[in-house]
Amino acid sequence: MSSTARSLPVEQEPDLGGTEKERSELDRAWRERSGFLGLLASADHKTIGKRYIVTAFGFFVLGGLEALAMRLQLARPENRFLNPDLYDQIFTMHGTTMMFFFAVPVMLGIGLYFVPLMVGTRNVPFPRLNAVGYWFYLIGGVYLYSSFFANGGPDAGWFDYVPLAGSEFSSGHRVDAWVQIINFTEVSALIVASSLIVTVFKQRAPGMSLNRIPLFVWSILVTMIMVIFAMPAVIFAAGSLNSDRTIGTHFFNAAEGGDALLWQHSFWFFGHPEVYIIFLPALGMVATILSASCRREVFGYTAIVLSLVSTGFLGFGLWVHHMFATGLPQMGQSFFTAASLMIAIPTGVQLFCWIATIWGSRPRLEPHLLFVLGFFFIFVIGGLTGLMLASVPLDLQVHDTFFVVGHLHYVLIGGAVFPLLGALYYWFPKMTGRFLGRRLAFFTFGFLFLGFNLTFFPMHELGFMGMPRRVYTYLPEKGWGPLNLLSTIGAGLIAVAILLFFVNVVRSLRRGARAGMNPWGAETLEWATESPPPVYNFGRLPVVSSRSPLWEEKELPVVTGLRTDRRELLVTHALDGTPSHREEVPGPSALPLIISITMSIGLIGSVFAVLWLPAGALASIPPALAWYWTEDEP
Amino acid sequence: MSSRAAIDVSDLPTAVLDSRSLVWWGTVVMTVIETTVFAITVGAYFYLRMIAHEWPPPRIGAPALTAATANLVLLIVSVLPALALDRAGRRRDISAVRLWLFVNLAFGTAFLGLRVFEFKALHCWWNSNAYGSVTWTILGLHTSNLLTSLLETAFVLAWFLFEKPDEHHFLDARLDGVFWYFIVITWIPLYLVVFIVPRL
Repeated sequence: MSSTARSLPVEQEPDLGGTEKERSELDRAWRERSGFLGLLASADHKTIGKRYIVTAFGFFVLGGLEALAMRLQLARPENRFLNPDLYDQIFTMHGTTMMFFFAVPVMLGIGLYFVPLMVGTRNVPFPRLNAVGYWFYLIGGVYLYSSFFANGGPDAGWFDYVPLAGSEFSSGHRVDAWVQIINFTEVSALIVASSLIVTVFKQRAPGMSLNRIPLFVWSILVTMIMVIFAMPAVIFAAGSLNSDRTIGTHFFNAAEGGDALLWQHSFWFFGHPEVYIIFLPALGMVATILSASCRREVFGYTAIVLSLVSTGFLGFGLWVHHMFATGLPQMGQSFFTAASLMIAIPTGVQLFCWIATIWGSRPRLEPHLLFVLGFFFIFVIGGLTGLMLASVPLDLQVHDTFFVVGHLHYVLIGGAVFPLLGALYYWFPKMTGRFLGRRLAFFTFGFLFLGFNLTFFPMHELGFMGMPRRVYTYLPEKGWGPLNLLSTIGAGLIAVAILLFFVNVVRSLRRGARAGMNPWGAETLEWATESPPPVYNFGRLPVVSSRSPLWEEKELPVVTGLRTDRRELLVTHALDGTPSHREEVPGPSALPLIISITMSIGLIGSVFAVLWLPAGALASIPPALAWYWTEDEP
Repeated sequence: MSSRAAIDVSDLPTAVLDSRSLVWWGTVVMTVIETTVFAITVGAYFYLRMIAHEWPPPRIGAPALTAATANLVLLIVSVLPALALDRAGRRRDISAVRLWLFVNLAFGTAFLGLRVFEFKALHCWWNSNAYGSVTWTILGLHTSNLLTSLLETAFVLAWFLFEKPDEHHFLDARLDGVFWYFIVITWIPLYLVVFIVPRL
């Protein structure tokens, strides 16, 4: 497997040009600071995006180890590997970690890395704010795991239902840790959303009208808009649970006019869209990988965009299907059943568009395509069990059983992790300049596909047999032992797959085959620059006149006249992408880290005494002022 | 695959003070987030009202209107200096921006002072019952936006007093005015919810 065999000949490499002088000026103007302190100051969207991805995979390992611990405990009846108290903490940590610290952040990270490249700009509009987002995420995760290792891991489930999560039944600070990390992750997601929404609307390459935006960018745009409208619900939910627990408010206290279901409504109004926040970027990845593998535009661009947008809308009308067992009015239940079934329409449209794309093409069977095919298989099964769960009578039968656990893993691992690993294989050459090993990637896929189905398919059956979720053990007479053992063996195979993936990454970083600018011969703009791209992304900014600029153009048209001696962005009009003006953006600074620390001290301190919150806010004023004062620094 | 120069942007302006700018868009996204937080909280208010037998709960009574209505009038009047600030920013008029930033700060502070009486007018504490919790939360959320706005105004004013403002500071002055519009516009429905709805 030589590098030249899979890279384009040099003369076919897409080169946006720029003179030597321009290049050296750009290098100087956009230079990141050096040394350890320089690392803390980075404001480059690619650096921050990579940090999100690497950190998210760190949490993925932790969440995975927790999953393995649970599987070991459940491998046979009356096992004594974990005690019930630790088991409660571990399943809560697993869900919390995977949802808030892996799935969402890793998608945010990939969006942050690739959206500015794919729309052809130099950085996100608010680079320092963007850095704050990452620090919040990191500090939140460190706080959660510090609590856990100090025997203070949250233990009321990842959706923390009251009254169990209220102070009456969960005294101490375990649930408080959960409540606070929600604040950290929501701040970080909202910051990334603001950055990317403005990037997509205002910083696209000249000529990139709305109907020429790459599908991955569309998927991220819809996702980020969902973040904007979903996160406020969990801000309210976590805020009110926090104040119920610390200063004695009564939002969820029925005795004083509160209501436990208010928690479920406000949590799931966020929680269901959250699933689509994880899933939509994966759909964008699938479309990207398919067009590059089949070497043709994805069939039905407009239909796919409209499907993404309508999934975004419908995603907000489904939350009550998590609450069918709470005795809501039948009329309401029927409405939410219908809405839940409706989501199959846009998803089905996309599936047919993808099949039509592959049909009659001669796709190259690279590992990223294989991951997409695996996604088709698993996700369709997950979608079908989703339709089953959307109907109230069946939902009531299997509510809170392992059927639900099986379903949600088919949707989330099949719907997000498979495309994600495919996308990482596909984009790894761009991010690092080297290929991931092909053979190891095939093995990763094989183990993952086999292990995944072995782990989660039996859970559906266990659910039908009546095995409840979140119970630390079961009696031998139940007859659940063999299927559980099978499931645990599958989990071991998944662990092997993930281990192979990490081995591949570490080996390829040092010894992988070198990749050129556009090793897959793909069509979108991230391939029109070096691998890895320089801090300023492009020597000269591209101009586009079609959806597939690198396929359609013989000579790449570029922008000239943008200043190269300062950090200047080209701002374009939101709809048609015509140039509007130029704007300078702030550069690297340690202030985002400092302000993240002062605010975090306030948030974490408030778990122990409310006064820490205003104290943290006050302590954040000096760094905020310094930030404002230094924004113009070259 | 070589490249060719297609568009020359050297003549384009390097700063704009209006809705085309990136910070403007950022501010709009932020107000959308804040508005959604308000909307969800108001949703919770009506949810709790729906399940309550009596709203407000017995022996609390509807909130007093004097302070809140006075504050509402004050807030609506304060749109005028915010408008003047916005225009001064657009004209790039340093002394007018200074003046109106200062007036805005004064209005904001007066409003904050009256806010204390609005909390008192609720006749209950946040920990009295769910009604108290949700009304205090709505007022508290709006107050936190107000504090942020005051802080921002103070920062921009400090810059205009002690440093040489460039284009983006004039934009900041305008956006300070815009953020104030947001505070005024959101308060009108919130006032109706907190102070009038309990009388219905």
